[in-house]
Amino acid sequence: MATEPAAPGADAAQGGWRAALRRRYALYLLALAAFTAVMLVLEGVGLPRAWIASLFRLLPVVLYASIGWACRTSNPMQFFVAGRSVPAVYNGMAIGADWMSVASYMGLTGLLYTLGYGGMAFVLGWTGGFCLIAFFIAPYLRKAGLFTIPDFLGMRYGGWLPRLIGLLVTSICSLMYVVAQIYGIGLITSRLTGFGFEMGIFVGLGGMLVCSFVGGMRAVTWTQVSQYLILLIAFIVLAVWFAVKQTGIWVPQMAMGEQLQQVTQRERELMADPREQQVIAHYRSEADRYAERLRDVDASLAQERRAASKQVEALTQSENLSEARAARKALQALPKDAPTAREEWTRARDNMAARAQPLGGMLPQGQAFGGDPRGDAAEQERFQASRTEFLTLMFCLMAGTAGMPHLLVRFYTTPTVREARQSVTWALLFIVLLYISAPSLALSLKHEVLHAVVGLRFDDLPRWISEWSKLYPSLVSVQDVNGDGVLQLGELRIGSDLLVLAAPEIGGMPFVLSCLVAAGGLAAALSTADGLLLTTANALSHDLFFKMLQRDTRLTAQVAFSKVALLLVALVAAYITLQRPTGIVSLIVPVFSIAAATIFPALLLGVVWRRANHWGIVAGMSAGALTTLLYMLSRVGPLHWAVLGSPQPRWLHIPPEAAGVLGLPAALLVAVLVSLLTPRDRDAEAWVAALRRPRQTQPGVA
Amino acid sequence: MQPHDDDQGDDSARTFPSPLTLALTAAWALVTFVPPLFAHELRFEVFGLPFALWVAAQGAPIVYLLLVWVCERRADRPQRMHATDPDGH
Repeated sequence: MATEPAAPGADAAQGGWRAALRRRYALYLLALAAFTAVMLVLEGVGLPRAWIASLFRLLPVVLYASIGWACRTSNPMQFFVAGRSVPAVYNGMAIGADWMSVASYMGLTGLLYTLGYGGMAFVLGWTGGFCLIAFFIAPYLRKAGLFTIPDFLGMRYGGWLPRLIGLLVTSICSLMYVVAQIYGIGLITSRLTGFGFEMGIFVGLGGMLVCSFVGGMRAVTWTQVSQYLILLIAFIVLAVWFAVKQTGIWVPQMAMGEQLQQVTQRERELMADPREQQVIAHYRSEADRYAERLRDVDASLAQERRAASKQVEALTQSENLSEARAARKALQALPKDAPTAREEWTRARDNMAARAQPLGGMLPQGQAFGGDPRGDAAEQERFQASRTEFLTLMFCLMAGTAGMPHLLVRFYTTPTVREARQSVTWALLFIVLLYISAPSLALSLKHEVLHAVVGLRFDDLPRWISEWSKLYPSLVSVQDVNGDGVLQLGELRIGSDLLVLAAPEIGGMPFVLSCLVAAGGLAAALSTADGLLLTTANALSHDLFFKMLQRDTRLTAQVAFSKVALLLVALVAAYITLQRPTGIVSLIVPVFSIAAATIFPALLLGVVWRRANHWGIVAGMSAGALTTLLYMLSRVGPLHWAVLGSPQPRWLHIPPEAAGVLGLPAALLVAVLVSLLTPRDRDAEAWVAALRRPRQTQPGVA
Repeated sequence: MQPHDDDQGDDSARTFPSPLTLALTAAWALVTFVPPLFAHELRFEVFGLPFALWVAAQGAPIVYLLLVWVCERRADRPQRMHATDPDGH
């Protein structure tokens, strides 16, 4: 990868360059397999775990860093669009790694485990969006031959406003997305190295910056190809291991039928189990307790305070120091004022009520939605809500995928329009390989937990439970609620983000595979984070610094500015991550809603409807963003507690994170109306006509 | 800003999006929205899984892949015919 690729067009040189690429990555795969095999042997002869973990942590990062270093560049064409020389297959793999972040690698399987069919909204959304990209977006982006997504909006609609809105959305989306990746890196490295979460974040950040900082898109692309291979192999190994262990079938997708049958059988047993009922009764009474308190928040808070201070006094007098300290802490932990109390208790009540459902609040794996369309009114309502949530989420994820800036910029990097099209197919193939394995892995994990973990005595719980709950008490916890000394499903809580990382231990695999899976997760996080950082930095540099402020027209100055922006964005993201966000997926879904309501309609109308003009799109994107944000913020987040007092009820059962389903129609409607009310833009229409013409010429290259 | 495209031929005769794109989009919508909408009614099994579950877990992603592939193959054809630039490899 160190050699400069030949200029596209020189066929012989391109052929040589492609052959060299094939040789290099084949060698790399062999080395990866050999390394894993050697480590397995070494584990067998007793190499300490700490050594294995450090090697697995160190070698990939060294590898990524050296690829990054070998591809270092200050050439703007190389830095922004990898010299437009990435063959479709490799671009597909790079897009795969770019796309499959910790949300796909860790979050998705966890969601499928806890939500069952409900989690499929993510499988469908994150693959179906590629159809929209292939039909309406990728070829036209490549034909426009620009550098960033705001760049396209600026070219298509003219003026600086569309560019600015595009830039704002790109920055906000990428920043939130990167926070989720860094959070994932923190989880993985702290487990793999024993560093704390904070330290883990900075180590990961270092690995990330080496690539994007020194080599821009070129280094990121070639690193991502190697990262894709690791993450896919690790994931497939996991899925195959469980499938063989549980059913003897080597193709995990084919094993699902048998696994589902056994899981459904076991779920029925557990639902009828009286000990599970005891656990449910306990949580229901807890939920009722909070509901009681919420009836008169002020009075209950005062009463809680009185009771707690009385306890502190009593314990201090009895000179029971450690218990008195604990009681004082409990008193301090009480909510400060009535609004905080209302917020905390509502959340606690909802938590307890969720846990008071059968199967620890999880739907049976084979059941599509909650509730029953033929049951009573409440059941019908639950069914409607569950189905609407699925459909709206899926739609937002799809439209958001087709408007996700860090994904779309990849289509600028191919040599030709045709290869841009082909790279969509390759990318989707490489992505689907993982996405059709995730449901199988989730089902296997459910199988394993229901059969091999639930029902164990608390004295002989497997080691991973104690290890993980020590590291992340908020993510893994067990508690003998009904005091029978046996673990019930309702008493076990596993954070969905951890499930894949813990899977090798859950399945009793060698420690080397734990490390391989962690290395795969790291590859997923680093590759996506790199792509995101670069997209934000390039947009800031190219669109803000160069196009809008016109500070310096030299392209090399743009590269320098982009590198500075990269560092700043990375530091801001790390700072936000240190505030301990709540979970990978909850960070990412709103990003998709925002992209679905702004960038996607702007790109779609930009290609499909010639008449769409400057003012139409400015008004449309603003309307989309406002609708989405208002619906979201009036229902979740700190704002509604401060401003509105309590969350607004859902409208038509639409979950707040899927607000894009309202934002997208709003954006389209406003864009069409305003475009029709304002004068036509003949220049823009001619530009679109040229864009659609099936020829290799590029319209209006800067 | 001005496209420097020397081909002044009027392209208004060509419909856009093409019928193929529309057909592919319709297929996409069918696979995407119908199984979840009727998940409760479509209870028959495919490979041992309820239909909607199988579609979401395996069927739809594979159909998406096929649709994208067909789009790519078909879109290449007129492009090759019209291409004045031999670099359309």
